[in-house]
Amino acid sequence: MGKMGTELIDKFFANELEGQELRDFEKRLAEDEELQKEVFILKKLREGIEQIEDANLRERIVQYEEKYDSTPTTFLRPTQIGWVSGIAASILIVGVIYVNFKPDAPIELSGNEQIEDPEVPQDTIRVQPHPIEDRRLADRDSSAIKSANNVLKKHSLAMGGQTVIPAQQVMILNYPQSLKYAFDGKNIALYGDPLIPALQMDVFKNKDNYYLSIKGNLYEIGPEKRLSQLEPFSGSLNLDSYQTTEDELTLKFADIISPADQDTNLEVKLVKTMTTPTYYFENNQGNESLVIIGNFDPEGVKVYTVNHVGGRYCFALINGDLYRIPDRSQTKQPMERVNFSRNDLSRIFQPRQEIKLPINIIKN
Amino acid sequence: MNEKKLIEKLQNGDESDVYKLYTYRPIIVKWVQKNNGTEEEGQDLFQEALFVFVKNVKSGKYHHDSKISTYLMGICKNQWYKKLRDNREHHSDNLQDNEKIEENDDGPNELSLKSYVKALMEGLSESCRKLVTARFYENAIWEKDYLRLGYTSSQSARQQFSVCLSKLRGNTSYDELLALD
Repeated sequence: MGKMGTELIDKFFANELEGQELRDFEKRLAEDEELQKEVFILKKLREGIEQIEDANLRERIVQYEEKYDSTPTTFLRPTQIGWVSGIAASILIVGVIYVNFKPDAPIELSGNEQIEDPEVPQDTIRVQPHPIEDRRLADRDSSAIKSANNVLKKHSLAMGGQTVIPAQQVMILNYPQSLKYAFDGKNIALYGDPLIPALQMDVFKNKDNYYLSIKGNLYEIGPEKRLSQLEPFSGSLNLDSYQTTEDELTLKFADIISPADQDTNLEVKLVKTMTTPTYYFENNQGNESLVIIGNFDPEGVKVYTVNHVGGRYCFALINGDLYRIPDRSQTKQPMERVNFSRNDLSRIFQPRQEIKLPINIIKN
Repeated sequence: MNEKKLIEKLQNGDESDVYKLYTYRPIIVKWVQKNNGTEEEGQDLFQEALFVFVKNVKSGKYHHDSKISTYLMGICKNQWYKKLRDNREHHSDNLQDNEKIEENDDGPNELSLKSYVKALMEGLSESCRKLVTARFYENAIWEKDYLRLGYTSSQSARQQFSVCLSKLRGNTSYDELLALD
């Protein structure tokens, strides 16, 4: 069965065969075993795609509920639209990029897909694991951990059975952050919001210039090898007419967790016991402490406070597992292991798969 | 809410306003509660109705003959009455189970087909996936939809689709698909 046959079957399923053409097809279908097999194949492919897209749509519907529920009185709350509408569908734990939070810091791309542009100095690009993938944090032979261990020795067992977690393992960050990028002509590293839905992103090209559209806002992306602010495009560009090509850009979302700042307002203590993980907060003369109780090693504990839309949300990343600390209770509460299928703020801790964006060529 | 604009956007693949339809959720939930359902059942039913609505708009089965709220309520009523009927017939009060069966794609074989076809689709380029999905899921008609799919003419969209479909077809076989049936 050739290409023409497949096209005919496609037309048959799309109800585009009429009159004599339809009658001929049906007659042949009744007699021709090969055609019957081809019809079966296309029918199954269509069913499979329908199942995939149905599942994707159902997941998006759930996300829209989250988005609606987090938008209190008006539909146009740009600060809230971003994180709640991210795609949870089919998120796979793969390598992501890690970008140091310094204006001119070198970018690091994940996996094996380092930028190959010879103009990019290789010493600016390094591969880093996402913290949540690095499930054996304690075994890492890194100077940071060695340093942490040294600090730990000084602080440990300072208070009968309680170990003070080194300050550099207690972080604070804001989400979302201002968008920054680096671009080498093939790969875009995007920093600031790892939850932007893929469906709300497009790439346009006009002559030699590239533009990134995010949630309907257009940004020009120049060949910046170092992290640069993503500025709204102020010129005029006619997006009414463009052609989608098979060429693609790879967009990698930067981890915003690793470069977080130290939280100097929170002390974290660990009580190592064989019990189910619990926590509580202490407040001594204005100094706030979080006490974590569980069978954990102190060097594997990291605590993050995330400032988001006026709220503070606390998470503990322990040996690669993420726990939510739901409130600042001063009585013992169970630590809640994060289920990443939920569409909430915890997803900023999950490595996000890179996406491929087809290049849309603008027609002048 | 501008319903016409929302529908036009949806028909062009833009779902950015769909979340606004949750404004109709309380009406549905209240209706379900009045009809011997729980709040949770009402919320689940609303999500199912929204799913059906979006799918129907995208596939051209919804023509905006009625207001969206009326359409959503119609879907909910049909589904709710059907579930009540099913429950009576099966002497079971467990609505949740019925819903789960529907959501789980009716069994392991179909899940296998989904995974299999997903793998096949991943072997195509992004633009091919977009075209094949538009044709198979959204019932794209080249003469009408070529522009929104990024092509300059229906002919070029059709030709590109033909290439993509050949690639997809070439990576599978009757025996492999039959084994999943």
